[in-house]
Amino acid sequence: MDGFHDQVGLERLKQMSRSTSTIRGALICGAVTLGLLLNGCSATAEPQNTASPSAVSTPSAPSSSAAESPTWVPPSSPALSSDNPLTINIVIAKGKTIPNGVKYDMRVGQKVILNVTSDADDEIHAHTGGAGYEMQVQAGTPAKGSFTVDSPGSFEVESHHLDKIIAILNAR
Amino acid sequence: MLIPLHGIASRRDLPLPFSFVMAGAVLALVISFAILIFAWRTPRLKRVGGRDLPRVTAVVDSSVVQLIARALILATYAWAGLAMMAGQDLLTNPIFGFVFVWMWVGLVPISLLLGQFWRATNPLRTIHRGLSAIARVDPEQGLLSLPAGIGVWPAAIGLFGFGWLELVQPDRTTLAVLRVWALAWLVILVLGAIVFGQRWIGAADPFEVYASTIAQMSIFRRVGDQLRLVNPLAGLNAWRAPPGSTAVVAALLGSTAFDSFTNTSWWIQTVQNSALPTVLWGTAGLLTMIIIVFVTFSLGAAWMGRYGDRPAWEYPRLMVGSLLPIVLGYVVAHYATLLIVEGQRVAINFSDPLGRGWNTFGSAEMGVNSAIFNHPTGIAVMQACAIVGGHVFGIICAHEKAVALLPPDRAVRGQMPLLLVMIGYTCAGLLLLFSP
Repeated sequence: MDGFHDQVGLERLKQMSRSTSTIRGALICGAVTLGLLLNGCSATAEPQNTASPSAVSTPSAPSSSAAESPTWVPPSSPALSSDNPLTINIVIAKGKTIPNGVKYDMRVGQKVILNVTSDADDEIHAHTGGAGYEMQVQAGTPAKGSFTVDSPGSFEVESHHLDKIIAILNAR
Repeated sequence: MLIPLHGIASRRDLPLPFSFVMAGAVLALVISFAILIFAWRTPRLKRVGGRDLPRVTAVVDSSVVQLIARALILATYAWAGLAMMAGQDLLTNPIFGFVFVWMWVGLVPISLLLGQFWRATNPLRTIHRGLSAIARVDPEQGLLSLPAGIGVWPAAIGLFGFGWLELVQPDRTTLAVLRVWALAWLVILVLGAIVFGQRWIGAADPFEVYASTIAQMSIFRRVGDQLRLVNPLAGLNAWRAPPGSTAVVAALLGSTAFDSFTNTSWWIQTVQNSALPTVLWGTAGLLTMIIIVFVTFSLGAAWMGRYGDRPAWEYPRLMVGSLLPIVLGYVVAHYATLLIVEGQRVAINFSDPLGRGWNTFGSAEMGVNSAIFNHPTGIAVMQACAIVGGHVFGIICAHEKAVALLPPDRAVRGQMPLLLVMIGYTCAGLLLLFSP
């Protein structure tokens, strides 16, 4: 799986560097559109990833509560309201995170619940403005935390030990 | 305070609504071709015009005013240096915001409002002047003379370096890392000034070159010995860009674009899934963005050589001024909220550089007014207007230059590729703010 990702990454890198030699400047626009399309593909693939984490790139991930409830909230979900909490199930295994840099649309004032399972001790940081939110996770022990976002903006939820972005919350 | 993975602000602006992207792109297209087809056929900004300001010039040029301004700015940097060398390694240390917000973003409004203020008060120049006075040598005089063709190429490399520090360097918000960069900046610039004379600073200091480039769009402009109040477009049109300016502008535009690009899900997922180190991805991505801008603009402008009577390679430098409004639009769209909100935090923390509870300037007790975040639609409108507005002024400048450089019957055809390039930058800028 990793090898596959690397292949795709290299292909894309090659495409990017190839486009530097193309003549028309307007192609920069095309390149970004390409990025958009590629992103569109990976975004549609994401719900399956998050719904069955143990089946994807993390074979040794402990099959936890994360697998039971679906985690994906589609960006334009009609259920999007400040009454229902946004639950994000997070699996950290072998140096990777699921979700992996996924963007969530949410409402200001909506509660965010994080269910975290990790194969290593970690800290989850949510940069929600001001002091932010911090959550300790111990290896193998499912942890749950929650916070609310008080004002509009785009906020990163990251694994501190891995230096990786797990999710981006777009609060409107 | 938690250190965010990406830079110093713990919050980014919301993605631009897609309707704004579409509206902005359509508007940019329509206005571009309207200008191309219906606008003036003979140059209109040949002379800078404007109004002489003899009294302002006398005040600005008086040695007392210059001495005070230089001393104040030097003291500000010394205070920031104190925070860097003796302060705590926490985000409450004002040095991080001082470098990434006050200096890097703040130099744009300063240069727009006050013209060549940065160059006049650059602390590196003040230090070098002081050293020269002690050694009783002429600051203009170095050991070696700098080749004339070097222009601002060293600063273009310096700007890539700062972009790398801002966007790629791991642990950029730790004192140890920042100290190394600050030391390198100080030593390379001051030592270089001793070797090559003061001209080195104007060629190599990324901050001064960025500031004096932006100052070409200022309402204040020195014409001969006099300061003048000018139409910024006429002032910009009169700019004779030094060699390397295209690379400087490409570094500015490319690094700003890369900043947005790293926020797309595609980039985050690709880099985080990759076995290659993040630093490698970041370096390659940043370089690629800058090279794309450099190559596309150079080719678009060089196309004019087919229609004009100069060699093709001269056109990029003649036309590069028309990219500055686009740079300004990108900068406003990306950094306005950062400057407004994080800029306040720097002012607050600046009272207490060592984290000992000082309140030197009386600002320590102030709160950050972040009310601007409560108007996400207003921010989005401002961002879209900045990008499209920068584009429109860029097209106007390019058209003015094209009709001045090319025969009237060929001006439209000659500037077409450059127009397409600029439309590309604008669409890319809007799409990157949409940040999929």
